[in-house]
Amino acid sequence: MTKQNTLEKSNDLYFIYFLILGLFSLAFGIADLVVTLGGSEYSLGALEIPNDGFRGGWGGLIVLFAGIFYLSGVKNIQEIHQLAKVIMGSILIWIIAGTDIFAMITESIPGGEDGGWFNTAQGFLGTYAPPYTPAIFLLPFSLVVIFCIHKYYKKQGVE
Amino acid sequence: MKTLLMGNPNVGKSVFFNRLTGANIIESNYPGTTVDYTKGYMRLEGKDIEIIDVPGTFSLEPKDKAEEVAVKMLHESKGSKVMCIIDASKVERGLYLALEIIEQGFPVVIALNMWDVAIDKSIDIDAKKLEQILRIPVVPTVGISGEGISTLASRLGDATPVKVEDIVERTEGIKHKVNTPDERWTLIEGISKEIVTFGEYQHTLKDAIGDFTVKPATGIPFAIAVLYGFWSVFGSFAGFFTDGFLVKIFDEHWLPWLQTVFPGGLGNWLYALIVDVGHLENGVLTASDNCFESFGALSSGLFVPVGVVLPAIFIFYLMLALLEDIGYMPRLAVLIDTVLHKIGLHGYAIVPSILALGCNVPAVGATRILETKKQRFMMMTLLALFIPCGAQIGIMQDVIPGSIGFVMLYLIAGYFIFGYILNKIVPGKTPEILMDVPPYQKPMSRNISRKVWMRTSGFLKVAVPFVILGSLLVNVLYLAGTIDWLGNILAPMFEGWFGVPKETAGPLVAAFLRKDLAVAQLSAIEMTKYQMISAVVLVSIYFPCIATFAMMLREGGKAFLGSLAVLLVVVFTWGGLLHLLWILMGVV
Repeated sequence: MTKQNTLEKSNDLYFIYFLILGLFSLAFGIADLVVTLGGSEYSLGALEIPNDGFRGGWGGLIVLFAGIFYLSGVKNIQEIHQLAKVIMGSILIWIIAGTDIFAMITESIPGGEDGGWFNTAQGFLGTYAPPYTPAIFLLPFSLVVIFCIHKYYKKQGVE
Repeated sequence: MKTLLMGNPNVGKSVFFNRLTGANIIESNYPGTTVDYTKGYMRLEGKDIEIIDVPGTFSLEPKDKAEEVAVKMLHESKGSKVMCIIDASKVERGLYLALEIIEQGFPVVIALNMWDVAIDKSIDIDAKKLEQILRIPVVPTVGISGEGISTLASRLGDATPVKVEDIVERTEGIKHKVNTPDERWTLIEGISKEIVTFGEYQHTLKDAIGDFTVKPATGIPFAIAVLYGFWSVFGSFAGFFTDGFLVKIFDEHWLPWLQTVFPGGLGNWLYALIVDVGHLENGVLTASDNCFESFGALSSGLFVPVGVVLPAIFIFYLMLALLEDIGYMPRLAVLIDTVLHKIGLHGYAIVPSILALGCNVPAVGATRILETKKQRFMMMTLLALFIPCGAQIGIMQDVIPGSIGFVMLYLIAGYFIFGYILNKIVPGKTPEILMDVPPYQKPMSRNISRKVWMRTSGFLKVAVPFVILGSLLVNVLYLAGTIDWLGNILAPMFEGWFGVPKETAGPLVAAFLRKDLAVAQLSAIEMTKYQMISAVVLVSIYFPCIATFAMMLREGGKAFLGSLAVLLVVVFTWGGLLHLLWILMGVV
């Protein structure tokens, strides 16, 4: 297989991967906004869509933006500006998921108003149990972009 | 011997100052961090050398107040030496200022700083050749890692005054004298041709992301995400310490211990001032069970700054330092430039605006980066009125967690509406500026921790005495009946115009000392959710705290009287308008 063919094949793989991730992000963002406007929280299995104005409203809008970044960057992802858009999409997901996880950590440690100084082991672990917000579901998939960056720099080094 | 550290804005002068003197002054990756000069001492060959960090300036023809300070400092320092810091990736611009200083007869040493950035951009500078042409010491440096700084200091003794005519003679192709800016630029072009070689520069991934973060279509969503992250981490972190631990420490241990050991007991005036005022329950004076309501100098007076505000202010400054060091702040300035132009300001007005979210005092100082008197007057007035400080936000987070978004939105609306009006009625110019956006960089943990420590400890030094003093003063006024008297006299205005209880008079007196204390005191007054929102807005817009007041007086001079007049008008219109909104919504 020639070098050109390998590049084209990996471009196609990235295209499909980030297209799907972009569509999911877009759908989750819209769902966040719809649930927030609807006013009541929505749960489906391990997925929970928040309904408060901050996490659901602003957070949902940012997840939606992430989807748009992914979709606008998927074509010819080897090109530097296209890759930059996909990276920015992932950064947005990391911000939302990162702050969700940080909020979980800060909630899991103290014992609460009526408890002791620190949470019980059960209470601590319980904070990390599902359901999770859409951004946390998207987080592991968004990390693939790190591999893309690594590949990009490797390619730069080789060429 | 005195040495001035001079250079264009944002070339790393403060980094040099800290490294040379071992001092701690704030360094940031955007212009305008230093708006006043700072002195320090460096030990060199057994002698103490006075080093002065001068605000950044592009030339000796000042364009704003910070540049005026720089030029004045130079003119008042005849006989001193000058360390001229030049951004190696923009060497021509730095050379312009260096030549102007040389023309004034000062002995100069040049640091070609950000040498690493120049290499990244494939810019090759022949430092030795530049030294031969100028006949002054030229040293390549990397300020943030300290590379080359000791060599620069050791070569300070080699600096001697040079005649520009001699530089002209040594520059190939230049024969004319240097009398005008155009002639100076021609000379710089000649020098540049001899010393700078530009290699082929490839646009990097970092550059591409940097470009996208300043273009509105991609930059605004990114800015929303950054501010979301900022606010979310702020809330989680402050809640973790305050609600998780500090409320328990103060309410369940500190207050009961004070109530037990302090002599006098409820009803005693000294006990009321220091520990607990108490409250009436069915006509019986009852002890408070939390530090928000006890009002004592050692209960509320310590709980407010340490228990509530300290975690909030710490995380605020940590996040701000990260954004500053990464290089995001100048990008935010570019993004918001168009919006701020509508109210007669420009993108860099975001610097005092964001600093004000930490503390209004340094923010008033930072207005010096704005060019005209009109802009500085507007910025000072707007930030004193509509930007709550970090301490106040921290308390608001605890007192009105569900309504804080609305309060902030109402204040932001006021910022833009009154900014627009002020722009129309205040005479003066609102010039365009060209903004310099530095590349993104990895934040340095040393710089971040130093900034956070300096800003947080600075806050504690000011806040703790003022809150304790404020608690004492308000308690004395309560006990003397002054607050009740004031409340009764002003009742028609409070209840009729602003729609808040007359008891709000007490917190408003405290707000002059500390706004965070005032919001904490509001929590003890019985009122509806909407009255509470109105009262919090009123505390924000009614008067700057005493420290900001003094700073505004210093910076604004006579214009400060104008600010006060605007302030009075705004309090009545914006405060009254909120009451009207509640009436229209039928929630009064």
